[in-house]
Amino acid sequence: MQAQKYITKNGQIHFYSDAPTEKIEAFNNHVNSALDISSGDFIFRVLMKSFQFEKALMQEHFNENYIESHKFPNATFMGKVTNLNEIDFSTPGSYQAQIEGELSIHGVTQKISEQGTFEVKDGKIQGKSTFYVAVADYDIKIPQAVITNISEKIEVNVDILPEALNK
Amino acid sequence: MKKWIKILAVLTVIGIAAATYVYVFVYNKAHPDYAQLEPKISLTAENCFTTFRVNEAEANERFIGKMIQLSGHLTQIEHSGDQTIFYFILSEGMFGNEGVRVSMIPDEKLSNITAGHSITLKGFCTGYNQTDVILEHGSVIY
Repeated sequence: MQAQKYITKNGQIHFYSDAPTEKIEAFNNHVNSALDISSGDFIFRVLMKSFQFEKALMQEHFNENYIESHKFPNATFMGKVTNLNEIDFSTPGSYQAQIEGELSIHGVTQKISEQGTFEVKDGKIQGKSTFYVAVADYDIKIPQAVITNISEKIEVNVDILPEALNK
Repeated sequence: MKKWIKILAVLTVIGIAAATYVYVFVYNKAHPDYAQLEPKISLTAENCFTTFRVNEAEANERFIGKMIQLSGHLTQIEHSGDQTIFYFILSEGMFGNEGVRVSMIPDEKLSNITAGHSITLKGFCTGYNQTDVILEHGSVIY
């Protein structure tokens, strides 16, 4: 019998800001994620301070000035795979997924609806999604002096490989 | 005329020096050498985990963004890609095991360490994700 709950603590999130004067990216390899394939419930939780930037100064500004990670240490997504009837988690293949839910960043929660894929292979489920987050939607203020250094919309790439939770 | 040229030259040199300083030591400043950072706080893994569970706001204030020294029973060692994660398992919840996870700085000596023993290490605390307390840039003290 196939497990119903899949979890990972080593999911990956990468974000990329492509602004006229600067490209900024950061990686986080400690994303908690859980997927219930019977209900479609899907959550992930990310510690903002775990994002690693190439430049220390950018990491500092991200945590202290923009995200204020001392006040809002976590970002979370809680939602559902809404087209569960189109995905067969017991049969290898690549499936388009429609995911809807609430994304909370910087203390602000917004409803989102995004596309992703689930790749079922060798008894494992790999989930991937690329979507865009508008910084203004989450009350993240970018000072006028660096407005051309940071994109208004940040590309976010999620890549998780959860394992069956045997409980 | 010569005086003005001298002033201009001096100002140019000062300007270039200042710009170089900002570029090298501010814009491109290096990440901290985490292996060399002295721990600000020393406690057991269990005490750290419990503090986050009981009063997260207080624990955030005390631990996040600080190098902390932890001691405890190392329950599990995980390998994920090129990462080695030391795990002090202290409870169980919806994500399975819960406790303190320490992402270690790559080091050949880590391969000599096995789970099931007491250990003291240090790591940079990035917070609590409602499941585990996360420490990054970990290194073994003894």
